[in-house]
Amino acid sequence: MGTLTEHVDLSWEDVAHRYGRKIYTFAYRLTGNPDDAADLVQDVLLRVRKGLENYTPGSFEGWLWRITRNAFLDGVRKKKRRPTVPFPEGDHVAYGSSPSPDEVLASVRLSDDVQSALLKLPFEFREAVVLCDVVGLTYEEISAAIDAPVGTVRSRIHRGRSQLREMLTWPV
Amino acid sequence: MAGMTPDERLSMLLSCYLDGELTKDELAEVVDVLEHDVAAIAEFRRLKEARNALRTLPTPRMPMYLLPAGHLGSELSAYLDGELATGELPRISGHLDVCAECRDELADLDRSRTAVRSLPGLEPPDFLALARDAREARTRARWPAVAAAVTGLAAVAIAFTVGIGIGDRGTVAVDVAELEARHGAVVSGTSVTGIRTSSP
Repeated sequence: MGTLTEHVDLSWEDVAHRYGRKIYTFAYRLTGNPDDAADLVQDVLLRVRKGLENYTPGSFEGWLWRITRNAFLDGVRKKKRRPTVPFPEGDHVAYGSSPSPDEVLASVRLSDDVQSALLKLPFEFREAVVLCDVVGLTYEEISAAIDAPVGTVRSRIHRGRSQLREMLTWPV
Repeated sequence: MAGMTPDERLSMLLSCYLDGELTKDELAEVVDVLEHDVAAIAEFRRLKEARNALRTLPTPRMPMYLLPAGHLGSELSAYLDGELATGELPRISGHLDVCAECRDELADLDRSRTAVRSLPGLEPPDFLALARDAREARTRARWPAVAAAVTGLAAVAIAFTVGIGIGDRGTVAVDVAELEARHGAVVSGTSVTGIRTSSP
């Protein structure tokens, strides 16, 4: 048992139930690989279990996602590979286009396309947009998780979205 | 925001605006631009589309074994005995990986199981043997012809086997008492049923 905030006592099982799916989703979107995501969840929960003993109350989200990020990076270093999912055949990628609102509305994206585009982003941008738009953290929580100033978080999310939008654009 | 062009800075503010992450001054600036700048509105829409594409991604289905599902309880015995469905094993082993209490309980169960299995076998009490005899006597009375036929066949089979044994081995003597002891069969000297098989 560890006291995570001034108001709530959480066991590691509570953490697992409350955040397990988010951790899995984070890893899945970052890697595009369900096996890597499952490995990461197990690794993070073990680290949480050990870490709760020495946890000092503060930003729990920041603490948890810092653990998650470190576990992820350790996993990548161990495997010495960065999983990628190739673009499906026939996918069209156009850069620097400026679509009209009609084009925007006509651009219906399948989740596979988005996932493929996501995996093409540099890791720092991918991580920032996933933590923001998939996990739903605030800029301040992301700042704590990735140990970077909020200004850097703003910039990375913006650049991640800009590049993603360019990759997801094709002529209609 | 050093090193950014004015357009890049505005684009970044638009991205932050989508997340409600602007200061009061920045918010006023962005709202003002979005009221009259068509290019800014187009850029805002582009960023919003990228954001929506990410936010509407389906949530991947996480394997349930990754989550602690309470303690395993009676499933531990089934796990020890190899009686769990294959599909259940990842959940059980996943839980055991992270739950020291269930690991300890599993070790205790394993020790108990080994101790019980190493106990010597026991003869059944006499009254159980009497009841069994009475039940079998009733069965024989009900089915005398069938019983006679079956036991007769059994007797022939034994005689045949014994005969082959003698034939093969020449002078080897067959000890019926030993056969009886080894195979659990009891030879009756007088009964028409000849042989009755003891209960296992």
